Amino acid sequence: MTAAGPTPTFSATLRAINDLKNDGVIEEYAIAGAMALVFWTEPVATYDLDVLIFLPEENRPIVTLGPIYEWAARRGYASEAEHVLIESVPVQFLPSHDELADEAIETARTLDYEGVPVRVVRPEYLVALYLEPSARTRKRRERAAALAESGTLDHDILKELLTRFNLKL
Amino acid sequence: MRSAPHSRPSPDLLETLYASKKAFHARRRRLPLRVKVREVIELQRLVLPLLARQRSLRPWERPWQTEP
Repeated sequence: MTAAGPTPTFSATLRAINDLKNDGVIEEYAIAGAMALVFWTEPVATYDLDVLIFLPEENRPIVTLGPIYEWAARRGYASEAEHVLIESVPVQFLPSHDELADEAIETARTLDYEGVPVRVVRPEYLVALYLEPSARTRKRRERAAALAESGTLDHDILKELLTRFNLKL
Repeated sequence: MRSAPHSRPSPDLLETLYASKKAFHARRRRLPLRVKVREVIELQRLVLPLLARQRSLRPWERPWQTEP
C-alpha cells in the first residue's frame, strides 16, 4: 500500500498467495491457524495469517524461505521478522513439518472469498494440528475444543486422525 | 459473617440461557465471511491496545490496514 494508493483488501492478500503458487515459488498451500478458523466457525482475535506450504523439491538439505522473500521483495512486499506483509496483512509461511501437516495441505478445501479461490485446512485437521505436542498451548487447546463443539466437523474423520497420529483432545 | 442465601436460577431458566448462548454462537458461525474478517480487524483494534499494556507488541502485532 502507498500513501496515495487505495486501501488494500483481504481478497488481494489471498490473490497474491495464489500467485505465489502459480509463479512456482511454492508447490501448494493451505490457510491454517486462527484465520482458517474464521472460515469454519466464529471470528477470533488474531494478528497474522498462517499459511502451510509445500516448497518445490530441491537438492538442498536445508529448507529455506529465501525464494518467498525474494518473490515478496519483487512485488514490493516488506518482510518483518518471519512475516511478509502482503497487502498489509502479516503472513507467516510455514513449511509442512510432518505427515499430519502434509495431509492437512493435501486435503484442504477450496473455498471462495469474495470471488477468490482459497485453500483452507479442513476443521478436523485444524483440531489435530492444535493438539500436536509442539503446538499445544492453552489457547490452542481451547480453540480445538471450541471447534470440536461447533458442529462444523466430521467426528469420524477427527477420531480417525487422533488415533492415527496418537493425539488426545 | 455469612451473607444471606442467594436466589438461584431455576433449571428451566438455566436451560433457556444456555440454549440462547448456543444459538448466538451458531448465528455467528453462519455470518458471511466478509463480515467475519471485518470482525477480526475490529478485534485487533480493540485487543492490541490492551495487550500492549501487558507486554511489548511484536512488529506484526498491529491492526491490519486492510478492508475485509
